[in-house]
Amino acid sequence: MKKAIILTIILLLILSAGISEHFFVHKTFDRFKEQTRSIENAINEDDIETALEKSEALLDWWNKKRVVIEAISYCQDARQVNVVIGEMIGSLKCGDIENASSKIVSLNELTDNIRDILDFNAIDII
Amino acid sequence: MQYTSARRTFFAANAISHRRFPFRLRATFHPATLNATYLLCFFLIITHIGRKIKRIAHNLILIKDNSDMLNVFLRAIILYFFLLVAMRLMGKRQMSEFQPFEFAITLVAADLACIPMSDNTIPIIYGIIPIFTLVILHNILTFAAIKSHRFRKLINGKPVILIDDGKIDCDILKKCGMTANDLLESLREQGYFKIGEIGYAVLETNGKVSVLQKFANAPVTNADLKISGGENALPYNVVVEGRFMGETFGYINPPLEKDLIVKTLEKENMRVRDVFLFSLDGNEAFIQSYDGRVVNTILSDK
Repeated sequence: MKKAIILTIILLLILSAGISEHFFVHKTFDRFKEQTRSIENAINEDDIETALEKSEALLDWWNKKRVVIEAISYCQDARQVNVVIGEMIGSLKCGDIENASSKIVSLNELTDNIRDILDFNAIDII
Repeated sequence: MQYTSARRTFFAANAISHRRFPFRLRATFHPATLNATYLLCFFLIITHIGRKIKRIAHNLILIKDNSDMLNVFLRAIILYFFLLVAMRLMGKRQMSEFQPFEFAITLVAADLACIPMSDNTIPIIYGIIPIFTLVILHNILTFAAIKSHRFRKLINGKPVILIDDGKIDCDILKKCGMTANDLLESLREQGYFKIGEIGYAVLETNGKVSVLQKFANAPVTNADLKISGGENALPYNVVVEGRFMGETFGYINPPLEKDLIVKTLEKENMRVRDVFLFSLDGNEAFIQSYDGRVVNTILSDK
């Protein structure tokens, strides 16, 4: 009986951890998308200063979230996000708006991929 | 009346506070104030512990950046303990007594622990979750196997007769993927070197071979010789490595007093701490001291 209770608790912990992870991933990447969209808007309006400011804020925010993501899930691409944001910041500092807009596209693709990997879906089970 | 009762409670609470706190509290403190003080102390302690944990976690993160080997070392320790808990939850069976599904689960669990142990990029939780999922699955399967005979047969298989009435069944042997040498080896492991003495041999679901000798070769028992009067009792180890085995005393029937053990030891000029093993079989005692002295005696309080 004691063993059954322990196992039930473990099962509930595993399930709740899985569900929490699912929501955490969704929330994080929704927030990420919002931020990249606002950077994209600033780039489209040729507002380099705002885009740079927002990109740096995004990098800081992502660094905090990445620690948690790496602790709970396995995704090598998570580190790649830093590189792409860094490249975008570099381009903005050089005033290369075209390169920055290409970086924002690849950043969006990259985060979509990560979200897809970390997300709970039937295809990943197979 | 009510006032007196309230006063009593109030002073009792303050009296407790005097005992627990290192500093003196005035008797005029109201119980509610004391509760608030307790809560505040508790909160401060928790906050302090929280800060400490945060600092340790921060240091560990720094270590992660600097030392991969230390990371692997800590991961191995953590996973070892989780694996230990998982194995304890799986049950008490020995490796050789594993059923096929238990063996598979154990192998997979061991492998799952190895992957995050050596690869720092994989979160440790990726090892822990599947291990415990397997433990849960194992317990569900075991429970189902206990409850349903048909299910048990499905996952464990059924025993097979390899030697039937003194004759080896070659077809069955082939079906089981065993050679004649494998069979002979299994029989020798059981202590049977002459195949002519064996009446029946059964290949059990856990892969072991059980043997029943022919009637003519079966060992003679006390019942065959009609010997009666003796009794087989379960021996109890009452003192092991200089310490009383408290739990063992609960099983001994009729109950045994520790004084009797001490007296028996005194008769042999020994103290409990000098004894390596004190084993009791009925009232026959086997005593071995640390200095190698062996005494076989009868337990009596005279």
